[in-house]
Amino acid sequence: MIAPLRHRTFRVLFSGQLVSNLGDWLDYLALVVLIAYVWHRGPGSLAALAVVIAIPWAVAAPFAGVLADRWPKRPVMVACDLARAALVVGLVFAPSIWVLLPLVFGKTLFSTAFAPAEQATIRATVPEDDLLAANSLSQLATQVTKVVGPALGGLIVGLSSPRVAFAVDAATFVVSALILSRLPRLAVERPEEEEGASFLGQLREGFAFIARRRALALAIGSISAAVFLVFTFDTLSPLALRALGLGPSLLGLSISGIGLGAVVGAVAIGSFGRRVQPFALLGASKAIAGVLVAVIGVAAVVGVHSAPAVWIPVVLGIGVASAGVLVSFPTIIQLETPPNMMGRVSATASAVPTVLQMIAPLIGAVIASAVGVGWVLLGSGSALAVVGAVVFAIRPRVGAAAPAEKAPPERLLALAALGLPIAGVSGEQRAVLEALSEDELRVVDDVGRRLATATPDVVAHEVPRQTDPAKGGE
Amino acid sequence: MTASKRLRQKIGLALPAFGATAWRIWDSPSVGELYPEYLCTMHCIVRSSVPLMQTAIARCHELDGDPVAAGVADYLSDHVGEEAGHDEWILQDLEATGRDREEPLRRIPSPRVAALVGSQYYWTRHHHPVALLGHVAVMEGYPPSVELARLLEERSGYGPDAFRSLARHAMLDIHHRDEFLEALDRLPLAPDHETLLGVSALHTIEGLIGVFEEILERIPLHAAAR
Repeated sequence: MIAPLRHRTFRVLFSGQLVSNLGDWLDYLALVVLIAYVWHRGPGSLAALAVVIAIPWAVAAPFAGVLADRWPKRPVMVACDLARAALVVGLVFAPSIWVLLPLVFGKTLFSTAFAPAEQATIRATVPEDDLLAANSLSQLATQVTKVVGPALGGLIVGLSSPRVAFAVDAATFVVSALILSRLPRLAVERPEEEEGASFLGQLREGFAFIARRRALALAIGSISAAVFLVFTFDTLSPLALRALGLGPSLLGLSISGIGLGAVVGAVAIGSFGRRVQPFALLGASKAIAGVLVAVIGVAAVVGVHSAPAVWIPVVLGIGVASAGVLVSFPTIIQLETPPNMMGRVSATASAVPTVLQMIAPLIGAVIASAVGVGWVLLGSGSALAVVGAVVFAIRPRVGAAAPAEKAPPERLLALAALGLPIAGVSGEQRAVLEALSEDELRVVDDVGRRLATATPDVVAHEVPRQTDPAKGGE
Repeated sequence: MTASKRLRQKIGLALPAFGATAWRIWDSPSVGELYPEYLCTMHCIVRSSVPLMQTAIARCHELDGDPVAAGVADYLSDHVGEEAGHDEWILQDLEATGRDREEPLRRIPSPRVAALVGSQYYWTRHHHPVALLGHVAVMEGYPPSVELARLLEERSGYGPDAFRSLARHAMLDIHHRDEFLEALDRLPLAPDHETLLGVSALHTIEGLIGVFEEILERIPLHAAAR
């Protein structure tokens, strides 16, 4: 799982992510406490906070993605961190919600520019074989900081004030900027057709690229559906617990249980998920999560009141499955997107679900009012399971395997014609042979004529005597 | 499958042909005459290793912002010191066979040797320095067995001092190979880089076959037998 940390660039990015993720959670808790407890403002202000955080991700992210593709990555990330530090320092001195909201909006705006630049850097510097493990580590960091951050934030806010938590958050952004300034300069080649393209032209090309790539369209479409379905019931969780006859004290435990499951899932996928096809992981994870949510829904509809311990495996299972989704989705995006498009594609991939995430709770609340919270969980869970099953059934090939898929089968016939025994090779070996370039095949052709002179009776020079020509030296 | 495994898979296609050519030397009744010729030729190749790596490192630094070039520079900078002095080992072995240690330096390196090494300079200078790792993958990826030095000692009649270079490489190159494969798998290689690695590695094998055939042709018995 820690294999991606061998790559210096990822090590630097990961260190920066750990620090700034932690700061983000301190910041969020402090914002809520400042609005609700210090300024004594009502739900309207908390809703406004949610809106100024969501709007940049939904509206500005695709534009920020274009900038991330046009501008050098390291200066963008460092500048975003420093700008966020300055804005969070502003929060320390914010006298009212009317100053606070624009500052939070501005901070989120810079986050929308930071994230695609970070994704583009990962795509350009981490080998494809290590992307799944890299995303598992990122997910692990997200989950761990989600547990540690609010606890630490609570401690700081409790011992001092929310404004101290803002100051600490600002410091984490400065530390992150210092860490990221150690990244190497990263030049990503732009294809000729993109040279001189306008900003809007590049934006359009980003959308068109997603529409052309079946795997990308399927991944983004299915994650959008999943986010929509999850957010129809996510805010109804306290009501679902009540319907199951469970007390309010179990709400925190169930959230922690999902977090723990996600940590276990991220570790498991990072350690053992390398051979799993990313779409199979995405589809299966959604299907499992959907079934488990539907089970909760059935129990709420029927009115099953059981001991809290009965729900532990369900909650853990949802956590593990969520890790499957959250690790496989960015991996598919990275594998399917060339480095020069990564900013636009990753930004769009986050924008669409964000829009649905804003609408879904309202729809969920309306349905729950009409038919009850149990039916919302049952319906959304079942739909999520169906989405997962469809993704699993389709599961197009992604990433490194794609070129082999497109390579002409004549390669194997040509190698066989040279006398190379290709019948017994494994699927992976076959993919390498099928993907040989014309130049590689030409050299093998030249060399292949000499195979007839091989003399297999003397043992000393180890490799020629132990190597099956088609199987390589493994 | 990792990049290093994919590369070794490609190398595996051509390696048996090279092995067959090499064994025509080691199995030859004229191995005593062929071995000093082998050393002279290998000196021409090996003495270019360090300058070639230094050229590649310099080229990598020119490609500022290229993460693959940065990785290649890191690996070669660590590795170049380990290659220093290997040409001297060969001269000492040559001396132990009773030949003049200055002989390889007096000879004009053959066009086949120039093609083998020169192509790496070309790819490094005029395309991308990652090509050199394809060459390194062949030159260091398949160390001679420890038995080979003993076998040649028996067959050629030379003392153990004439085979110290082979014996040292049998030990050192296993470590170098493992380091190399790990370094290769750390690079963020695109499909084009992997193709270049494959072409460079396969071309190196083809070049080595040509060079070894040239060694065989220098001894009349083998030249007549062809």
